[in-house]
Amino acid sequence: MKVQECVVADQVIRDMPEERALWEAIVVPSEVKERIRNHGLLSMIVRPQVPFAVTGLHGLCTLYGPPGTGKTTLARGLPAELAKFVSGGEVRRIEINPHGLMSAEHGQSQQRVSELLAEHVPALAADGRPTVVVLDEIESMAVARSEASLAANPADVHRATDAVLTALDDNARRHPHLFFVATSNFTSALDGAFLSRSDAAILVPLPTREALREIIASTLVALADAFPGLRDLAGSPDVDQAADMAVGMDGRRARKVVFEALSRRLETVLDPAQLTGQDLAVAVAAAIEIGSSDTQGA
Amino acid sequence: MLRSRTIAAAPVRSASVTWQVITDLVADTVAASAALARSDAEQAMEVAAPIGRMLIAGGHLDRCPLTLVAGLVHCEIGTVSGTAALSAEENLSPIPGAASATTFTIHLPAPDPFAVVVAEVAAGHPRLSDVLPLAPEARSAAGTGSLVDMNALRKEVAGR
Repeated sequence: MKVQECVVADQVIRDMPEERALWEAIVVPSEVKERIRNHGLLSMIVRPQVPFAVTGLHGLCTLYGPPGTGKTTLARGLPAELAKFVSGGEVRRIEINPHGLMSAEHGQSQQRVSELLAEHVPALAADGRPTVVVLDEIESMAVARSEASLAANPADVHRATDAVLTALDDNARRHPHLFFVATSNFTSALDGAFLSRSDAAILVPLPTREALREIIASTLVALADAFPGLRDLAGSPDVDQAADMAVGMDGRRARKVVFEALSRRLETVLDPAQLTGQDLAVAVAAAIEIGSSDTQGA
Repeated sequence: MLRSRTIAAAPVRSASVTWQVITDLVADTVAASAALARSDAEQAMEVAAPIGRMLIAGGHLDRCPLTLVAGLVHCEIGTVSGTAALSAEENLSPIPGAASATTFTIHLPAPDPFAVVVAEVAAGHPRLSDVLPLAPEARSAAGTGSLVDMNALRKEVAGR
């Protein structure tokens, strides 16, 4: 895979409804979203004006937390959120697939990481437009060198991490319009030097009961546009009960619970408006059971 | 706009001669500005000459170029050594874009293990720096402070 092919998206984003939906779809405490947005803005205000030697700001924010909590969606939604406040109203979003960078050929991983982050990404953003670079599942790229043994891991893994750090340092000094958002499910797998370069490491937590209720209800309301009969269920106490049962579940699974409930009976497949609170409760219980068996298996 | 020039080093030239070629290129470029003196550039390069020759001899300038920033000029000047130097194509004419420059800075690379020495040398002349320069597009943003629309931000804060 060529380095250029590791860039899975390079788009200029405006504050449009379909882009805003990414940010708004994720139900997390408002302070989490505010911190992510504020770090992005602060980086773009301060870094062009004050030398790196003074600020130490790398323009890097790491989002971490359990799977399914919306880290990647928040990172993808950030450009539209920033677009409201940037000159010209446009923010570039570059998305990287780090998995494509690793190569079995000796020395290639380091070279590819360096080429991508230090050359290709700055070149894509050479027009100076504010740019958010999404590094999804960064643990595959910035492996904790303290945890990786040279006996078990090729030296390339260590060198690739070195290359990430060098590129971040270089970009921090030279390209203050770049703001990197890295996501990870495993902070313990991340290199310490990478984490120390993060201007903020922000936990995206599992949803609270209230958030779960909002996720399930909003999914039902969205479906109600096509199947109006579901609107009553969305506002019923059955959703409260389902949320109570779902505590501990991640947001992605909570959203899918509605579809799991629909799939359990052919009648509800035919007419989703026939979905009942009982269907929801059964689906939540099943999802919880799968979740707990996953945990035990792990 | 980011430009780059490559100068052939060993075996085509010794480190001293290579540094002199780079000095002439920098001085010729700066001299295009009526507000700047060629001698100022020559003096700065003279101060940096000892470390410059070491960087060339060690091959560091092959990988980490120095950067001249002067008005619209943002040019990385590096070297090429070994067999590649024998066939290197050079452009030694002044770098265009400095005519309107009112100031200039020569950013010296500071690779390990020269970081401390380069910092000391850079401190010896106001036109020298051991800090990596901002990329041209970033300098533009910094100059206008325009990445963020502060009025839009003020409205958001006021609306809370």
